[in-house]
Amino acid sequence: MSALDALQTTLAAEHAAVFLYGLYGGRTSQSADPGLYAAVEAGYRAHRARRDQLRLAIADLGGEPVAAAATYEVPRNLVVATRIKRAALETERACQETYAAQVAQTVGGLRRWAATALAEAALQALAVGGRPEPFPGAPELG
Amino acid sequence: MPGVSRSPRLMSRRTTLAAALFGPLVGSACDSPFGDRPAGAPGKSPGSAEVDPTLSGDEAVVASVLAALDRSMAIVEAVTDRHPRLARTFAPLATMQAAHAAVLLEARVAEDRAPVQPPAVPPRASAAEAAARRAARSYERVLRESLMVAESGALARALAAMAAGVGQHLAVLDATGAPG
Repeated sequence: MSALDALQTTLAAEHAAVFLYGLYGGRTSQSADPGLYAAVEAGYRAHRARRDQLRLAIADLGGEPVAAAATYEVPRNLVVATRIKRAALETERACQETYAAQVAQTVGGLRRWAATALAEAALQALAVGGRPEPFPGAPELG
Repeated sequence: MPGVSRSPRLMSRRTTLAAALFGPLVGSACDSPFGDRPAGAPGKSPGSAEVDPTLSGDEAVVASVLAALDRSMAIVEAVTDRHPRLARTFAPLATMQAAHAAVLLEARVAEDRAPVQPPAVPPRASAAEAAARRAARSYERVLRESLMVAESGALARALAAMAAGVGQHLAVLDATGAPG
């Protein structure tokens, strides 16, 4: 897999994450659960920013950034905070694995970007109820 | 309708790490849009003046990370020995460090593991706690620097995951502990 392929894979994951976080935000009450709302909003902003950075990076490499899918698989029963947190945590873990894969498949600035994204996603996982893990993004090492 | 699809894992088992590290490169300079190769060089690894100069490339990277981890583990152990009430605070970090050590020890080539001098522990618990967190932060820094010079993509990935794990533990410690 080339660096460009790795970036396209990460971009596809970011499209999904942006969609899903938008959904989580729409199901979270700012007044009833301000902590979760802030965490979801932060996750949405982070993934949207990474999506935009990836689009530019792919275009710089001469690629055509992959488009978002028409829709995505939506977690069920997003009606209570615990389900929203669990879904957001799952989104973060999936993105962590994608960033970790990009670390392996790139060098230089693209590797640094992926490692930073992995570290940030690991912290975001804590914000949505996750616990510290020994190998975020590479759970099979544990 | 896709969700966030997970990338295929490069290694299905931890025990394959050593083979993956020193086998063919997963990523290569050809993949880089910036044309920059990892800066690894024989005997030159971040954060370790004491790494065996005969080690080359990723061997030296692993030795360097292991040395930083040993220092951090030694401080955590000394701190919790002197201040037993901190043992609970640092138990998750110590467990994670042991998991990191297991992976790195599988991947190392050199058999020698330099002994770590018993570190001095501040008499005040808050200062000792801060010292242990500083040591963990130093280990995290070595991981971040080392992943950039790793020639093997599998090693870089493992180090990035370790750095993210340390970052998580430090975030929890920073949220609950004394100022570091």
